[in-house]
Amino acid sequence: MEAESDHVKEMPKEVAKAVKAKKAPKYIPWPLRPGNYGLVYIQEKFNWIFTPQLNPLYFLGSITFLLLWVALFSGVYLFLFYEMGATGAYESVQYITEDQKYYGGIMRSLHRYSSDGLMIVIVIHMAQVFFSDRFRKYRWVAWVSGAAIIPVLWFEGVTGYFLPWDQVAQVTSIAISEIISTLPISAEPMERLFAHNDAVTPLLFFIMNYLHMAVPMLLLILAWIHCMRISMPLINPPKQIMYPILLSLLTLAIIKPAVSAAPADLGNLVGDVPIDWFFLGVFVVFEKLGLAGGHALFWGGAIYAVFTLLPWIIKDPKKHEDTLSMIPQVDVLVDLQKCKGCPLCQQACPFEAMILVNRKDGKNYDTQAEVIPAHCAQCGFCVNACEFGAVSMGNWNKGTFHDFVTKVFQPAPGGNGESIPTSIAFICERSFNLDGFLTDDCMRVATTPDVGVMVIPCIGSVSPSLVEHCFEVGAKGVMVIGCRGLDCHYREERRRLHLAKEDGSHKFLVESINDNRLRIMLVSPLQIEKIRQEIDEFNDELKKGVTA
Amino acid sequence: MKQRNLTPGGGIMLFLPIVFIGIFSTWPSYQFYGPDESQLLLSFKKRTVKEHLCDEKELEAYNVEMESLPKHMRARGRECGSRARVPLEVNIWLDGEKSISKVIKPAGIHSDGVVFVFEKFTFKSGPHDIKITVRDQKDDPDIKTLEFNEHLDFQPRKVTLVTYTPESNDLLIH
Repeated sequence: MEAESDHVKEMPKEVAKAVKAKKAPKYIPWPLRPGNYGLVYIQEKFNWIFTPQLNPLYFLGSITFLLLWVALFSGVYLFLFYEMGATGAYESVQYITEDQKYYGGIMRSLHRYSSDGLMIVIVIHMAQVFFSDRFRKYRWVAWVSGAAIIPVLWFEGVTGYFLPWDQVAQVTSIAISEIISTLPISAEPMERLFAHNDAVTPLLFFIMNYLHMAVPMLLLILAWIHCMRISMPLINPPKQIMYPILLSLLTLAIIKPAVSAAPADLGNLVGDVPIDWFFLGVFVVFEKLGLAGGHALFWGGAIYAVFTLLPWIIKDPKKHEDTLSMIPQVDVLVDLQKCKGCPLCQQACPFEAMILVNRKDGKNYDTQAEVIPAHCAQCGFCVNACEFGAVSMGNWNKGTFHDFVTKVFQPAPGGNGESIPTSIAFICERSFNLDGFLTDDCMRVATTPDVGVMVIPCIGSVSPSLVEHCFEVGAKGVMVIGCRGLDCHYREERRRLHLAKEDGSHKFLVESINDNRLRIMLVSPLQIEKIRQEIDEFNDELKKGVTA
Repeated sequence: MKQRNLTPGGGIMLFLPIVFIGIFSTWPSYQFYGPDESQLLLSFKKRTVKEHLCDEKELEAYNVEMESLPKHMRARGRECGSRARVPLEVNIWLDGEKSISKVIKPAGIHSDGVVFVFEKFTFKSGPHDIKITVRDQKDDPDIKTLEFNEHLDFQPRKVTLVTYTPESNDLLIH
């Protein structure tokens, strides 16, 4: 330990401080936090079935968009044949359903089932985001806008169920009018609109139809807000997922077409009626709880408010000083003396926190990089992306990274006899539980001391030049160990490594390095033994010169 | 990156959500009202009397004030008295037992609008004595209590709507 201390003393001050602070990690690694573990377990099962590249749980946001497009396009078709008015509405929907069975009927079914799918996928997506700890801090805009989508989508569904003017519409209208009547927006109780059949005017159908068409615009605006702080949002799911989903919707539309219940009659009470539990189940829940009108609104609103405010109610349990990462996650700074105004850091940022603005210091460049702290995830992608060492996080910049790696492959001062590592592993601090995986000083892999370690916030920040530098200073091999698929907390690591070719930013394409001495391991948090095994195997290969 | 194909298991799994949707989009059906339930609905709007009506002296002063104003500034069709109107008392008895008793305020910040009444009352179908009284809440012997007192045979799952007609100033079945 003494020798290790000497080794630490020789490091740059900040590095030594960071290393010393790692000796007693107190935080709970995220895969072991309650809830997170369950999510990881389910995602892993899905990875086994679908492969990590095509796991639909990693594409819930884009599946939402797919279902939204289906609902929108089918809705436009239905609108062409819809008539406003109590009798006309029911008959026109019946005409679409029965007389155009293989056109309008299928369209109506697609419209309905895609809407149900939307509700399900959004709820699962939010649960996933919550349990993977991706709802706080710089992600609050996405969380709040996502939370706002649920009631808006629900309202859209309710207005849709009004339009056929069948018995489902009847109970829905009465229930929703009881709730709206408690709001101080009109002196006249809205329930009076549904007191008798003559009270239901064509104007009401016009308003509901208009609302049903206008609300999707609000949904699209919310979707835009939801994605606006994400640099490369996934809008379309892979076609291997998209086609089966579309086919499954079509199959259900043919096997079980959506149909209307009996026509609405306000002179009669509705008895047994088949209801869509995804949208209308909430009315039943309220009724069972004895909540109607204002009570339903109050309790529904209170639960929803708590849900929306979760980013501020549940604080992040992680404390930066307790994490195993070498790099303290603090504010990113730009050194204008070194900044050349190129877009490398901007391209690297997954959350649009790095922007280019007009040059202010009089240097002969058009632009300069600027950080928006509120957007910044402190992932460190930009730090190594900057070729000029202008971007730093807690005094770590490209140069410090390189210095650290150089130190790792230098003999410890005083010659304590400790062997120099043969290779180095860059490990994402969130990819799996690192407790017990590393030596006490977090500098080596405990079971394979030949492998030096650098724990970092995300492997997306490992640049090709850093890998090359490792080889230059004597590393026989470099391992980049991170999360599998879109498990990445910063959501971009996979694309930074694999898909960067698509937008031309080869800068981040670590995997394109054609060198057998580089091994990228994308791992499951539940497969620590496999990771150890892979590290051992790679290390053995290096020793034997297999990879040379 | 190497293009991957969906595994057979993955293909099957992607069809499972649609089965879930197919089932729960209509099943189980829900019974909102039982086969032996009936409903009485009381829905109408009524303008109640003013809280304070002018006495002779006040009326005279009011008329003088109106006369002094240019024609276009005179209040047309406005009675002399307070702006606010009195609340409306609504009581419903089923088989002699009082089931609903409410005092409903007129609409508007100044309580100068009409009173909107919407009351719903669900009970077992069959023959029942129904009594409904509606009265402007003011100590004035001239104010008439509107009364609906009938023995009715309420059919299962039927809604009986009782409403107010200003023409006859009475409560009637719609």
